[in-house]
Amino acid sequence: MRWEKVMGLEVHLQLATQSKIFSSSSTTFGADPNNHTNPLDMALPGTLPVLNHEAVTKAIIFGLGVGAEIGKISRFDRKNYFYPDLPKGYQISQFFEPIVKEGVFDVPMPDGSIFPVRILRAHLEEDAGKSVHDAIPDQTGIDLNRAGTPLLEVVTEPDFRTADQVVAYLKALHALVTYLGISDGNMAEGSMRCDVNLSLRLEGEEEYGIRTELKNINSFRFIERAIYVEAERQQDILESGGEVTQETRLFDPDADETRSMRSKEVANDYRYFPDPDLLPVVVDDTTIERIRAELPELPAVKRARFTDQLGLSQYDASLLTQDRATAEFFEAVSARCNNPKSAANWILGDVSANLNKSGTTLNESPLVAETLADLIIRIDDGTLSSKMAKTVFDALWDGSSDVDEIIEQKGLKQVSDTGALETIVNDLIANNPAQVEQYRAADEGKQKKLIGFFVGQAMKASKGQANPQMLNQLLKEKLS
Amino acid sequence: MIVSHFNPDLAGSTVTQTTTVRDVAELARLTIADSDIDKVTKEFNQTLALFEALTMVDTNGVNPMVNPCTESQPLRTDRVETLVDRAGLMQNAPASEQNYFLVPRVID
Amino acid sequence: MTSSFQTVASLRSKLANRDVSSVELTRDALARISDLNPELNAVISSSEENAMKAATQADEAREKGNDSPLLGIPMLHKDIFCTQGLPTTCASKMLANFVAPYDATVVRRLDDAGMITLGKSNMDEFAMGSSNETSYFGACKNPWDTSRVPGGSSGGSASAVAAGLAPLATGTDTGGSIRQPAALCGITGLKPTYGRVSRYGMIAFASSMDQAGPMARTAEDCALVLEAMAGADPLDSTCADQSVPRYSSHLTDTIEGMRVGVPKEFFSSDLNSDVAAAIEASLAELEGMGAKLVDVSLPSTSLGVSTYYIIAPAEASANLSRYDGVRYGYRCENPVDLQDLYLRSRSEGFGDEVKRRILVGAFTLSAASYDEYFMKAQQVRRLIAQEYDDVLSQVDVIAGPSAPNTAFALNDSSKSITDMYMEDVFTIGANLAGLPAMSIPAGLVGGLPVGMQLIGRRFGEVDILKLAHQFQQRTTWHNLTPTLEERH
Repeated sequence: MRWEKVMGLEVHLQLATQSKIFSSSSTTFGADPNNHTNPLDMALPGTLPVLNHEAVTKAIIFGLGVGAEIGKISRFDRKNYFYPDLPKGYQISQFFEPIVKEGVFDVPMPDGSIFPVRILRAHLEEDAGKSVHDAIPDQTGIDLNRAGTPLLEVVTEPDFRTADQVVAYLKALHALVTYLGISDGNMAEGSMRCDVNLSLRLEGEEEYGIRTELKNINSFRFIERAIYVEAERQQDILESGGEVTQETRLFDPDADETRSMRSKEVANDYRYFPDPDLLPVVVDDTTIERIRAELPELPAVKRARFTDQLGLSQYDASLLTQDRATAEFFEAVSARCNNPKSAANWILGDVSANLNKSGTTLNESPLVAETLADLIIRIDDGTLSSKMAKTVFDALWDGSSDVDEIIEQKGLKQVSDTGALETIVNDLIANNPAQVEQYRAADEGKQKKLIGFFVGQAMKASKGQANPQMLNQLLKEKLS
Repeated sequence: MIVSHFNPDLAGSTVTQTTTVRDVAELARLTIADSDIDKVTKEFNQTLALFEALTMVDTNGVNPMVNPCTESQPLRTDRVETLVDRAGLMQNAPASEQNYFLVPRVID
Repeated sequence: MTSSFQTVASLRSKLANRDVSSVELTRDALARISDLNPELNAVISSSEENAMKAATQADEAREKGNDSPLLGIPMLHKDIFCTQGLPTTCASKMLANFVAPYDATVVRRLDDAGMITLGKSNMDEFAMGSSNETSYFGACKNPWDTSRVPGGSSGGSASAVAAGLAPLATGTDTGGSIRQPAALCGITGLKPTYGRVSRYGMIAFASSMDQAGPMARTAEDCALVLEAMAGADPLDSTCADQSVPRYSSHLTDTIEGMRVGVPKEFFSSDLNSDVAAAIEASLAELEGMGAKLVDVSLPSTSLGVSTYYIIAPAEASANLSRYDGVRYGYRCENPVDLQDLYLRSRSEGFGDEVKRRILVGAFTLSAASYDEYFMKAQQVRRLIAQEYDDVLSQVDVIAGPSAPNTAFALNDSSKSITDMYMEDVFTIGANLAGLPAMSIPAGLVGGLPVGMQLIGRRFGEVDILKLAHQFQQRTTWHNLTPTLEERH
């Protein structure tokens, strides 16, 4: 028996607005407990929600970004349940009529193929606060700073069959929302949270099995593992003749297992009904077209341009377009140095390695696109060897900003002057007659090894600054 | 939500059991003392009986009315503003410490 | 006591002429409250110090040239409106110690207009009731007969104005909570169009029907006060962005030929025959004033009660979920765990009627009942609203009784819960449809006041106010006052 995984995703994106979705409190992360709150966030009696214009705009931007239909009339509903971090005892969400309807989102797979994911809907809702269990002994502390942060919940059809597809989708989604500037997509801070609905069925079956919902997987790292572990668990149950319980489960990376979240399951009848405090949200065609006109170039379009016009590989194009900052950085470098391949290699190589090491982002790094382009220009015009270029790059990373200045200061200029190289080579030949004799007597294969001696000596004489290609050429000529 | 289509034949005979009343109370986080459950269930059924008049109304194709307002939702400019400071907002807290509201330890 | 039963309008000119000062008016009103409230229980809390300070400021402002129409006039707020720094209890144990850190928009606007808040008036708990008997602070009495109820839920406001404790009180009306007590206490009460007055800071019962309005001695007073209360509010999405007419300057506009619809369903067997006779006499008076009476039909009137008692509790069940003992409000002693905290705080903090409605609301919204009850009720609501709209396309105003009976006895155990719900049968329609409606004194039956209800088109407050005002120019029912023993 071969089991097939069937997965659908629900991703909660925190929208990057200044204020909350229904109140004017700040959405900034990391404030002192309950300091980013207003009467509404505390659900004080008599307070009423007023919808943030920017949250609506960002939801529409997302919808257009995934080619979805925009709900011309959408509504807000109340989802009723008791939890201490849910101050009103209900969450305002869009259950019956969401603002973003069906769409298809093309996800680039690592092999260069495209995996189309059907988006079922995306709706606006408010985030809950936080329960803090380790601040006060024997008590849970409630911090409502996050309560009311605008969320866009993006729901897919159960189109995923492998963990790779899930990861590729999440990466592409992350790229999309950062491109669109609607969310910072920061998983560690919870700006992007993922729930996976997973069921198994025998290959070839039409019908879906009973699914579980894996809640709040908040890093790319854990997703594959969580899926693997939960699929194994379900498979064990099914193969021993049991039945999977439809429930919400949490992945525990330390225990490497998923476990039932019983506390969230107590008799959940959410009693959704239209929120009478909010009126229908009406979006007209003019608004939609205005927003569409202002959309930035989307990752898929950029990717195609990078491969077709700039000659990059699918793989490099995918990596470079994963976030807007990287793509724009690449474009700036490439445009200035007119060498897209080299620009891609630098960004995906040294730049990316340094960023990983320092745990920072491009925007935070001291490197600017213009100087990286200048560096590539100096390699291409033969001024710098690749080894020298690395030295210059390190200096740039340490905060220097002028490539030519660094070359000057460090005396890194490659000797490409034919006259100067000729003098060195002539001196070498004159001072090493035995080696010259040996070289001239050798066959072609041996010559290739013997020439190393001359190159080494010449490099020493030029203090490492001789242009290696020119040096090789010259030596071959003079020795023959 | 999966919601069944309204069936007038069933509606007229609605008699809610004490178990249903207890389930609903659980949803609403209310307790009903054993000594009160019969009375509460009886009153509950009296109220439901009042609703039976609606079963006779033909509402086919009628758009539900959520709110008498005919306007669309006004939108607020995305601007941060503090209407009341934290001390004011937390002045009524039954239990708080280090600016957190406190509840008995929640175990997930 | 010279100022007890005066109107806002007359106090306004007395203040303007310096015949009386705000300090004097306020001191008198506070004295009358402390004198009569032990008997009436119309006021839950009074704020002597703040009121006297505000009155002094009002007098000073007047000396500096401020002549706003409501400056220095004392009043009461129903204890459902949040008042910064004063207790706001909603007549519930749940909020017995709650002090709001902000003002309701209505409170803010009347403050800005210079009115003096004397205190907070009694009401049914969370506005759920038609008799004021569900108040945690005890029943309020009807000044016409203190063995009887003042009506509800704005019973304290009605009782206070009727007893001359204040010339004005605010009320809220979800299913008749301004009009029914106004009728039972012989005063004038106006429920504006849904969306006319901001709900911000007004503790929610049923969000799609709650509306604040003035309760006063005359239609003219209601007009003056509504001008100050009404208007768009950036803190309430459902508050209409519509300009507010100068209601008081339209009161004498002609009513000649105005079409007044009289729905036959308002004169059904539910209506006490003596009350019916009083209303018919008043309708004849309207005709005598030049209005044209038109027979109309609102066949869904009786369905309104069923519809209302599904929708209002459903909305309330969610609106009252915030009272969980976590951030404010009543919290049980020593909760052992979170569920215990929820269950006991809510079960001990809410009264029986509130719990009854929360249960019904949670039930009608549950997945298995949603279509059969809640959705159905919302559809019937649409039909009822259309019925009113159709009738109001033929007539300018609908007129009829405000309540089926005069004030009934306190603690009447013969009245079942659903009998009590039938008190609202004539008033509910205006809430379901969101229409403006008022109750004006229209007679006495057995020494108890009868109220006539006038219902207008959406944002048609001018129509009902001018009709009411001109009726009051020709009748004296609104001038009658109950006899109360003063103790000093």
